[in-house]
Amino acid sequence: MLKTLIKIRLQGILLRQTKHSKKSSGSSAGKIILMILLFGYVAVVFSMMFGMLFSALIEPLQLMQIEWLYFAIMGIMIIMLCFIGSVFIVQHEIYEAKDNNILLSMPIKNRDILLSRIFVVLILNYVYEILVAGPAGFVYMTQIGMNPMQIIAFILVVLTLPLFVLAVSCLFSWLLTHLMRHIRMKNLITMIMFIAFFAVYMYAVSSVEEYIGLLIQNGKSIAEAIEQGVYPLYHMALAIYDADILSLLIYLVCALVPFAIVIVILSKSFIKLATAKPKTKKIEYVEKPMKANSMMTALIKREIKHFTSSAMVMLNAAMGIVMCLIATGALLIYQEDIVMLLGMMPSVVNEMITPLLCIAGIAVGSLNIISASSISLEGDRLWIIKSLPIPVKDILNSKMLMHFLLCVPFGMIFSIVEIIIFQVGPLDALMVLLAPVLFTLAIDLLGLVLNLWKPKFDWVNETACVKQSMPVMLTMFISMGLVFVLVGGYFLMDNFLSLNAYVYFIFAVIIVINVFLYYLLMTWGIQRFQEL
Amino acid sequence: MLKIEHLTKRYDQYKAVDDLSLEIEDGHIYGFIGHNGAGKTTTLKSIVGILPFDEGDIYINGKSIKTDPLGCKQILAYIPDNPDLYEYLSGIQYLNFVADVYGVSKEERQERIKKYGDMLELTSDLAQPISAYSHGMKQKLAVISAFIHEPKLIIMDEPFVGLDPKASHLLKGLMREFCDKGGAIFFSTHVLEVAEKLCDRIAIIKQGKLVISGRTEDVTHNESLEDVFLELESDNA
Repeated sequence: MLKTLIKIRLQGILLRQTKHSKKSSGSSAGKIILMILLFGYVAVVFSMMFGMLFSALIEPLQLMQIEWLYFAIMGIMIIMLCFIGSVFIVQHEIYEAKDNNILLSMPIKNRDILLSRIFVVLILNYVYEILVAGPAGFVYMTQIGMNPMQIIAFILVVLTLPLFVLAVSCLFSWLLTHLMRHIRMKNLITMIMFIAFFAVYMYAVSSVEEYIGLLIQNGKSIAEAIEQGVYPLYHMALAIYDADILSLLIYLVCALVPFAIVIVILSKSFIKLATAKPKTKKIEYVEKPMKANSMMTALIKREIKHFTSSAMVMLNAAMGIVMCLIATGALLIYQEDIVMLLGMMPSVVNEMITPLLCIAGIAVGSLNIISASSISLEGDRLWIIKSLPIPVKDILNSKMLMHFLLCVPFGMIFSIVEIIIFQVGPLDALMVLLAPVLFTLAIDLLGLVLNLWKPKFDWVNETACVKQSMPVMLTMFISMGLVFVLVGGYFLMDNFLSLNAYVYFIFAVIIVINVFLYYLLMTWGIQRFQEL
Repeated sequence: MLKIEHLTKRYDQYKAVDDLSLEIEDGHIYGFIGHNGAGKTTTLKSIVGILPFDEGDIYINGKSIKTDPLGCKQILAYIPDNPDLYEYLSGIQYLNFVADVYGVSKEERQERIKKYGDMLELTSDLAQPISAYSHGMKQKLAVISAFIHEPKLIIMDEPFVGLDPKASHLLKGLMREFCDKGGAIFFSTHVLEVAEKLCDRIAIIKQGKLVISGRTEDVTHNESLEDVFLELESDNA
């Protein structure tokens, strides 16, 4: 039975990744190629990042004769990446899956349902793990080498470590599900937690060099602390480094026993948690004088209500807003240091400050992809706006305006802080203010056009729709790529265009793109929407 | 009120609706009956402008849904078979959204929400999020939203599914009252007893084609509608 359930889960994932929508048949080769390219890109970026990190670590650890610490660090990184990457998915996959009720009504053991769901998260964890373990193993193998016993121990660790992480994630998500049943402001709590995790992750990534320095300086004491305090990790590292059978056994017990315990606990409480309805206090309707809105106001309010109804949708589609806030805060906190640093480079201040400020505004806003899933998110409820007497152009305009109205104010705040701190002239200030407005509009329109082109209505949950659909991925990569193109373009054109002239040229190009995309939306887009 | 002329809708090579013609006059409740997959929902969705069709035309109060979709939608209301409503809104927010789209005044919407909400016993739940509603409550909300702008034509797809006996009885009364005041209703159902008692006229569709249509008593000829339907189903099977 477990095999059948796992097969169905895998089929579901593969179909979700390769099919356009319920209206189209067969899988799309284009989408598969795009997925491969996307994963290839992520794999290369992460492998290079971790590869460089492990290359920098291996020599000092060898000199200090604490080489085993290399594998302990690898283990810590795998645990962190897998935990952050899967903790919120566990909750959705296990307790909020749409087919829980039907499966629970069938003669299937709870444990099998649970394990089949956990298997999906486990695959995800293996993907995360390979991004760290791959470069770590490669660097060790090429620089020091491994004997067959070490390789076997390494493979066993790679296969079992995600099980331990999964046990921790499941336990955390179990507590979270229990907690959320008693909380009304679920979205707010989830958002705060996600942002906190993200902030910790960003801080850790930005401080990697500092950590390596600390590690090299205090390698021995860190090694002693791990040896005495984190016993399983020490034995995991020793199992690979020394090919020590006893250490391997100790590690395997430490990794597998918590997993088994968690599965037993969760199997027992699975029905209760999977079928529990959130405890909401009934709100009695009290008749009040009603307010009437114009159609457009009603549409925009509906869009914003929808977007803000899910913390995960907000965080995945509007990461640029979070980044804008972080960047604005960082500018205000570190303004003296930044101004001082720029003071040491007068040529940069004189020539490049305005383009740099524009690029900064564009870069932080490039992570906003709200409109790219706004059509798909209509899902099974598309019939409502299609059967009501609403002109299609108003529907599309409301979706475009929602993205624009949510993102532009934060971009403007960032730009205003930039202008105040760097005290640029009036014309330059106008450019810095205009940059996020024009760029946001371009990404907004592009996302909407791409979503109309390839809508996805057969999603299992809204998070999956925002995270895994092709228009979202395309919009994200095009917007991020555009930032690199803008910077790279200058170096190609600097022989015949001054920096300021290049900025004006880019502004003109983005205006033309915006006009073209809006025209496309109001012609082909309207026709396409009617066909959906 | 509603005139369907040679409607044909294809999904790739498959004809879901094949040259269907039908006319529904003011004041009539028209039942639409057929087996699963006969083309009922496709027809209803084509009438309300959700689904583009390949051939023929549909006229609502003389306006073509093809050339003047907004004009047609302004006077009709649609209740689907599965009321997937905006779960992120509360009942009252949803009704206000629909009223805003139709431009219903503050006073009128207040009065109608109270009238239909009280009638279907949903008023006290209107502040609740729709995500907390049962299937029947969502169906009741869809019914209230259909009546909020006083349409002239209501298209209903299996409107009694999920409703409790009392709500079902109330809805039947509401449908009769609406048509007695000059409105028209075209609805699909599998509950043949309801269709037989409630409908002025009946149309039976089989594999996309209209098999029979007319006054209920003419269609049944002193037999039960169930017998007539089963007979027609077995013919040419």
